[in-house]
Amino acid sequence: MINVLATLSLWELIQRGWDVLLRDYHWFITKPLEIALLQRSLEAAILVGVLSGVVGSLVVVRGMSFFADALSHSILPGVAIMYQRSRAGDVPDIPGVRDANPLLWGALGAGLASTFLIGFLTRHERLRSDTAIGIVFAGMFALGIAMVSRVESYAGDLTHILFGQILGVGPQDLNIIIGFSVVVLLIIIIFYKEFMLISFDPLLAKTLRLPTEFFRYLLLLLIATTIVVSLQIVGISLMLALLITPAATASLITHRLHWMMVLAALMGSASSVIGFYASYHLDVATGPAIVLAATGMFGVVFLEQTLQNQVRLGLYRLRQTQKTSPAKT
Amino acid sequence: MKPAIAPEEAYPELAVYRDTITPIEPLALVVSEDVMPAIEVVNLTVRYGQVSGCEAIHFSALPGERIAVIGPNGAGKSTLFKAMVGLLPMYSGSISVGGESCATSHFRVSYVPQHESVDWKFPANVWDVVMMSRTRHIGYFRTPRKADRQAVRDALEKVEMSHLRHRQIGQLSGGQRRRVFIARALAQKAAVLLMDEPFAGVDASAEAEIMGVLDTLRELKVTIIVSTHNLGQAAHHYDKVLMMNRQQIAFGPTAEVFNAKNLSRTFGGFLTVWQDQSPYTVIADDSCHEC
Repeated sequence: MINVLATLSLWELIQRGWDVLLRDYHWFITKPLEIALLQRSLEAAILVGVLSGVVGSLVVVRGMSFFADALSHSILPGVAIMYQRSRAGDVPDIPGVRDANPLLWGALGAGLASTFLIGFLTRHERLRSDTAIGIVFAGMFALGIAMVSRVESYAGDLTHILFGQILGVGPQDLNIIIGFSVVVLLIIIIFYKEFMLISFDPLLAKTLRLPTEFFRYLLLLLIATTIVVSLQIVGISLMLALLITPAATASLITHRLHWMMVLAALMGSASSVIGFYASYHLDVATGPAIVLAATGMFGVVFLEQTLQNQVRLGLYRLRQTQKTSPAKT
Repeated sequence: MKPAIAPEEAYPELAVYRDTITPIEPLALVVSEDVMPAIEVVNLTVRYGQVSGCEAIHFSALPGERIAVIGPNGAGKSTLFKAMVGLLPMYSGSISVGGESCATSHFRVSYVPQHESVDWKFPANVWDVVMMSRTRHIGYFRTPRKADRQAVRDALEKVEMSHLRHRQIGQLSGGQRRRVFIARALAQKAAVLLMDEPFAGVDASAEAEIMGVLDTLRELKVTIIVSTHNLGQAAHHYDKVLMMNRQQIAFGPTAEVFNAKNLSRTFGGFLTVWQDQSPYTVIADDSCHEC
């Protein structure tokens, strides 16, 4: 599939896609959905797009992208442990864990552990937060790789963890994704004004006697949950793009936080849809296709705004010169 | 500018003071002795571990008074302000707001931090920022009600920012940004407003603009405490001056306190002060060009 990408230029990709769309609508849009597995994947991808758009908006306005990237990497040891145990048929006999994807719960555990570790290290400003994040991130990631490397023929499985495996979304997984998405989105809606306040002006939040530490940890928790849930779609290494890119695109368009969240959710889900079909028809891995779609959207909006500004500037200058040099009569 | 409603209506809690204060002329505050001070700081000491931030600060301010806090960099002005809004623990001493202990009345003190400490690219407009101060009034699990919207509208009107309420905060001028933060304190119904270096990095017209808003606040009986580097301004626009350099050097009416002895004690050797029979005090300072 890498070969396909390398041999096709972007323009050819677009042309090919357009031709396909014109030739056969049914074949292009609805046929993939006849397969239950693919339909489930698309649903999961859309949900994850919405979720990471909303949570990503908070990540972007708080400047926490390094934390988000680090967190997605530090999930690896949790995944590795559960992977080894599930291979050995030694999955903990807890109802939720046994039935569903055990890797998800391992990831959640590792994510929460890293979150609290980072939060603990940065307390009282003993370490700069980026330093603490870097230490935990690299340490946990190394631990994960060390664990995975002990398993024979790990390469293929590691690829799935690193780059996502959307086709592995089972019915149970979809339920888990739905459940977590609803909970995370509800919490953000309920505490929207508190999150906005502690993000913009933590000092005011403290003088108003709001429990700022509680909300800080709650937000870290929400980010960790979002990352874990989205992991299956795009994988560890591209997770950051799903959080940051749609939110950044939205921030170019609007200057109010709630609209930014709505727009980012729309863009996230749209790039999921585009990426899903691109991956099906062009035989590209789904995770990268989704991320490329999001990146493309960002590029288009950014270029459009730059052009618009240039045009505005040009018009302004034109008017100025007309004002200063009186028209000849 | 004409306030839409009387100050007493906008600030019912201030009506208590109405009967005890004789009407004042601007800059000449005549108040009877038995008025409750808006804020009273008693022997306040704040320490960072072993290092002292500020020592034995002792002053009080009446409703509507305007106080300048002056001192060199690192004199503990920001520390004092942060302690007064409860961002830093007190090592000793006490603070009371309107006669109440600060444990229950902290949100009646509003703090406007130094300009650089705010992310001006944040996706929020003027209205959103002012509404943030109502978070506590609105309460958890609720959206703003009519009273909250009215409070924000009034506050924006008083600082003459109503027409810019849809503007993103990053697109405002320096003076307008400060006015938004003053509006935020008003919407919070704060009785005391602490402003940390509000005049740093603004031009003369913006400074006059902010001063105009501060005059409006005086009519609303809001006590304003400003830390500033601008000694010329401190000498003319404030009722009282608090001079500090870790310790409190002097506190009192500007005319009494603003003299050569106190100034050189506050600023140490950095400042040369000449004071003779003429009405002018000449201050030379080779490290500070604004004076």
